[in-house]
Amino acid sequence: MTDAGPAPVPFQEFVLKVHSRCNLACDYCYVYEMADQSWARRPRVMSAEVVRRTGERIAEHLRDHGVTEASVVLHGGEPLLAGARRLEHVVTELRRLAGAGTALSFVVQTNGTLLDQDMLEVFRRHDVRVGVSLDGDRAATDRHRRRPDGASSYPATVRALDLLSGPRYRSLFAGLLATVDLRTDPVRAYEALLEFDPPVVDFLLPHGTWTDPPPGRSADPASTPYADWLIAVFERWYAAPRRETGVRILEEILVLLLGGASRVESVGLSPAAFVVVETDGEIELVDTLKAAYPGAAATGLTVHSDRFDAALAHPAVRAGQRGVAGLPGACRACPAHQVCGGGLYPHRFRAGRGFDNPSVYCADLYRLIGHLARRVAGAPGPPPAGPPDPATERTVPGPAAA
Amino acid sequence: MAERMREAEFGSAPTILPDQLLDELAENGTDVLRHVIRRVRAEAGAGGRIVARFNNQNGGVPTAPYLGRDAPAGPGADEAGP
Repeated sequence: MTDAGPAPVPFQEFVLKVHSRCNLACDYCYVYEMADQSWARRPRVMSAEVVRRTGERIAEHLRDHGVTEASVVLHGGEPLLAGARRLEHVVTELRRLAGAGTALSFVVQTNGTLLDQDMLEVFRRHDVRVGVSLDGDRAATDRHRRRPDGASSYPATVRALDLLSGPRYRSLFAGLLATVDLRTDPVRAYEALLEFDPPVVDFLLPHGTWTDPPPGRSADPASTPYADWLIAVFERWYAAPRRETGVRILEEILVLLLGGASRVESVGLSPAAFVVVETDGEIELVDTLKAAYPGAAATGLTVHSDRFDAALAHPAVRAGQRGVAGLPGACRACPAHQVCGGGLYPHRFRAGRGFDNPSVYCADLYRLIGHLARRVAGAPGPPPAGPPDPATERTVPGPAAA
Repeated sequence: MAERMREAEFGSAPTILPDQLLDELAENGTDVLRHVIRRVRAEAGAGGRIVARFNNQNGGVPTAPYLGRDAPAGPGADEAGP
């Protein structure tokens, strides 16, 4: 493919769908509950042959581009359904194929319900870090993260987090991942996560598009409920006498406001350098695209017959590596575009127009970034939150700083 | 770094902080802000190119920026984790 843009940045993160099913039935899941239903035709688990072929392709890609450090995300579905022995095989096989001159770091992103001592011993032996998804306290988590029979997943996840945050496995603790629900009190959610003493937490915006907007995100640009929610978290986090943990989305915005570069795809203009491999070996784009439309993440490539370089040439990958030039025209005219970077790519989708739109969260991102910019520059924060509103049980934030 | 901050100017809120003010914030800002300033400075000093990672996980972020074949070598960032 000819392309006048900058040279492609090689992939340095490989997201492996080691298991395509999940033991939870979270109602907001982009894999099972949104537009794309390709999970149903995938093998449940990544076979040893696909693992080997993926490892060979990763080694080939890193060698060809002179990359000596890369990360592998063990993902799903719920990756722990693959079992400890199979996950151990994935890690050892990929490291063996990468060779001694290449450092592969591993992280598993799990709902935690199957994370027991046996599993953690395997991860400890192979230095696999563990990120856990949890939305806050029990009430917040039970809103969405339930088992197929409707039972709560919270107690099992808490048991796992007690183990993971204890002294033996603490070094493996990668962080907590929560999805924002506007009905949840933001400060309560943050403080509930903080109880596990995570090294970092992140609050993900629920997936949605212009065609299928996120809950509570109206077409009114003056309405910024997600910014308001995150600003409440920001004020609690930013004003603490000592930094209690990292809050990834907020920290990345601060870094960008100070002239640095983001390390995540959700904000900023750093080139996206990751790729997904499904259980059957198909190479896919970022899998959150599955929220947009069926087949949105597909490339038509597979580790059995294609090099990762072929995926580097895919237009969506190129768009994610072009920086400002990859943004819609409306974004380029906005003073915040260096910081928001157009937001998460799937959130730009509108049926009939594709991805050439600002994010469906544009108004929220604009307000959030503006608030953080003013606070860094010395503007006072809002007054302390009032008492919880008895109707919603949410604390009422004071008016934002001017 | 100051040059890059000027490029990132945002609306009426000054995101362009003169190095002198940044120095002051690095001393007297909130602990969160001081942490962020240390990271920005470490990464600017390290050279290389920061790449964006998969959003749907929290770990696995290497501590050193990618040093491509055409990127200047550097000591690497001195802070662990995101």
